[in-house]
Amino acid sequence: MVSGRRQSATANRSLTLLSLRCIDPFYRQGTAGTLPDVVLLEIFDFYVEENCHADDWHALVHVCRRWRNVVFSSPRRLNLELFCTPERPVTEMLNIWPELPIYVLYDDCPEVEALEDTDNVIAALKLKGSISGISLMVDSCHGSAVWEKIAAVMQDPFPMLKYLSLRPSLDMIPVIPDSFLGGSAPRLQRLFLHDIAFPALPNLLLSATNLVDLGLQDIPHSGYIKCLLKRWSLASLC
Amino acid sequence: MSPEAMVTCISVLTRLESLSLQFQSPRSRPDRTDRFLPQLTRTLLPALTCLDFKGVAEYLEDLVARIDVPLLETTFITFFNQLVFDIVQFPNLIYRTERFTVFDQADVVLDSYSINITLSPNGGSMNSIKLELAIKCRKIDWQLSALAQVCNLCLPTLSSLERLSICDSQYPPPDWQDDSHDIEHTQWLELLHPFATVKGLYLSKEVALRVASALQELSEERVTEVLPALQDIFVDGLEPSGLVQEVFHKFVTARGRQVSSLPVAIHS
Repeated sequence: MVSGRRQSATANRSLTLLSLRCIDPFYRQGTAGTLPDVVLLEIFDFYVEENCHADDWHALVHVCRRWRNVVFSSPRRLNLELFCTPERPVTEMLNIWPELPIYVLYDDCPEVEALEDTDNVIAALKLKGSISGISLMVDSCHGSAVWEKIAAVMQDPFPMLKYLSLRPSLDMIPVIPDSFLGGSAPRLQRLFLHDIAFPALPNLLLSATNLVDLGLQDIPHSGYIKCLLKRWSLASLC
Repeated sequence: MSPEAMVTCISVLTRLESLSLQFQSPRSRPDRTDRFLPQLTRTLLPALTCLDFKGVAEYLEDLVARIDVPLLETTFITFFNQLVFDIVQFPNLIYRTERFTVFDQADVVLDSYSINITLSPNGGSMNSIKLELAIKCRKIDWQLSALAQVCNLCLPTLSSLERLSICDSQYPPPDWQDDSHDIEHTQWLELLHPFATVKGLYLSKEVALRVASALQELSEERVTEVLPALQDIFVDGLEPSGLVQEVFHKFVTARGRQVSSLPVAIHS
């Protein structure tokens, strides 16, 4: 899937370069400063795609004003996001960067004072209309309390959400309530749930028509779909 | 979690490219009282290229019976240990999947926790078209029995396999010593049985020793029953003289005496 997109992007890139060659019969090597914006953007796209770290685009915008303009003129294509973690408060990120989609990462570990650390993550999650990605991995002595705090702010719709990964490695299997994400995720493209019971998952999936990747790992034996199937059957009789 | 409900969920996801369903334990079996009845139409998943499943065979059966995945190319299936694999629908899925007709290579690997087989096109490790099937169990005789069952059910739908390798993994290796008394020679023959089109057989040193012992028990009339299309045997670290060389040589000579048999060469 990823390789397919990459092949397509590479093909488009080749076409662009090919058309440049057609326009300029004396096509030759030059410095980056002589490259048109469209070519710079192609190169940036390739760079961002090849590097997996969410902050890689920061290096580009610090080079010069022109590069900055090129990057910020195509935020969707370059998949620009503000990466917020317990150590990178969303308020700080919004103060220093233009308004961009927010990606919230909480990767807990037992050594961390987990309860205090959630404050910045909760603050970020409250900006529901700006959140494009959420990746939560809760695994600490405060795990259940942390999970409850985080889950509590995720009961409303996140209309821009494209990526969601939940991995609460707790002693008890958490159950996600029906109201999670307001029951719909129309822009969701990638969903990964690990060791979670989610009775209302079918409803969420019905709304997630853009979903490309679905991963349900360590599905607990408690199960979580059957009751809804019965509800659908009744609906079809009406 | 019923397969029927799952298919109902994903039927609306027409852009879905990758589906991963991994159960925690074999207790998550579908309810067999409302077992799937054949139906005329299956749910089309038009964009799905990757399927990753871990669970019991019954669940996979009920799932794949309900879906059509014309673009499927990468498939990872892991079964929990079962005594009997009642598999009908999964071989049908393999048969229906056009991209799986290119498989010409099968790699079997035994390790301490599982046995797995990977089907791929030649040089397939770099290719996304792949079917990897693993069965979780520790004892080698169970591993052989389980994989033989699954292969005998699934592989007849693939007539393009030409290369078979059987190796033991080093990470972590199977316990040959502990299992040596439990493995019956016929289990190796049962595992080889469905690979009727294989021309090249590649064996690791430990596996070659066991396969050679199994072949030794074949009567001369039956030597063409195992791997009838075989032309080459490759053994890792084969010594010029020794039990393995000797047994394979006898096997090859016996095959040579059969009118219908192709000549077989042994390589190190």
